Amino acid sequence: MGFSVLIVDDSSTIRKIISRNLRQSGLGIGEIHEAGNGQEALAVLASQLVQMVLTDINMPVMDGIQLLCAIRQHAIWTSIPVIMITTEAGADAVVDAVSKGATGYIKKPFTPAEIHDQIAPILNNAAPAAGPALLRDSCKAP
Amino acid sequence: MQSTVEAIERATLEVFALMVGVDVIREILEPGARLGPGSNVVSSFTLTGAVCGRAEVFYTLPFAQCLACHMLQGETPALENDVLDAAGELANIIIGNVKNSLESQLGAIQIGTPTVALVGDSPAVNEAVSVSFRCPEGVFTVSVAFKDDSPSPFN
Repeated sequence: MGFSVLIVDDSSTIRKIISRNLRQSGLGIGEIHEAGNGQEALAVLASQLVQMVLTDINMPVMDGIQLLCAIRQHAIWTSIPVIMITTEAGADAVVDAVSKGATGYIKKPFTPAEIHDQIAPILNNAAPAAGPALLRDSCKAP
Repeated sequence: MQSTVEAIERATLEVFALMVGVDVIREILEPGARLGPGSNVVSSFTLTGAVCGRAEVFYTLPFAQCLACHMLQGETPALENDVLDAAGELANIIIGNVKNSLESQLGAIQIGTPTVALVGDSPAVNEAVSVSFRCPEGVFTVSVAFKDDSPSPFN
C-alpha cells in the first residue's frame, strides 16, 4: 500500500521534483498529494490520509511555519512527521522550526540522497496517525 | 570576508549542479552587453533588513525553456506558466542562498515575494553587481543591487 505523503510548495516544479525523488527513493511511497500553500494543505489533510508532510516555509496565504503549528495543534494530525524543505538555512530558522515541532529539515538545493536520508528513518519509525493533542508552547496564540 | 560576487558565484554553481544537473562557468560580459534581443525571463526579489536593495536573475526565454526541461527531466513544459515557474523557483533558490551567505556577514536579511515576468530586452549588464554564467544551454545573469545608503560587502 505504501506511505501517503503531502508535498506543500508554491512552486509546481519543486513539487514535481520532490515527487519524482520520492518515487525513485525505494522507500515504499504510496499516494502523493500536493498543495500550493498551507491553507490548501490543511484541506488535503482534512480529506485524505496523510502520513508525512514535506513543506516549504516561504509561501503565500499560509506559510510553512503556520502550517506546522496548525498540524501540531490538531488532535488527530499532531503526530504526523513534518519535514521543512526550504532555502532558509540560518541556525535561527532551523531552531525555530524544530522548537515548533518540525521532524526534519532539508535545505534547498537538495539531492535525491538528502531527501532519502531524511525520510528513511522517519518512515521506518512511523507511528499511527491518531493521538492526543500536544500543544507546543511556541505555537500557542499570544 | 566573502564578496557579493563570490556569494553569487558559489550559490549559482551549487544550485545548477544539484537542481539542474548542469555545470556552469563564469562568463565575463562586456559592460553594456545584453543577453540577447527578444523575450527574456526576469525573476525579481526585494531585499530588506541588514541590507536594502534588489536581486534579479535574467534568462532568455529559450534558456528558461531548457532549464524547465532539465528540472523536469525531459518532461516538456506544457505551458508558459510552467517555464516561468521553473525559472522563477531556480532563481528563488539561488538568491536565497546568496542571502544566506550575506547574512553571515551583515545580519538578518529578508527576501520579498518574488515576481517572475517576461520582458522585452534585458537591461544592460551592470558590471559592478552582476555575475554572468555560461552552460551548454546558454548564458544568464544574476544581479544584486544595493541602495546607496545600504552597507554592502566589498564587490
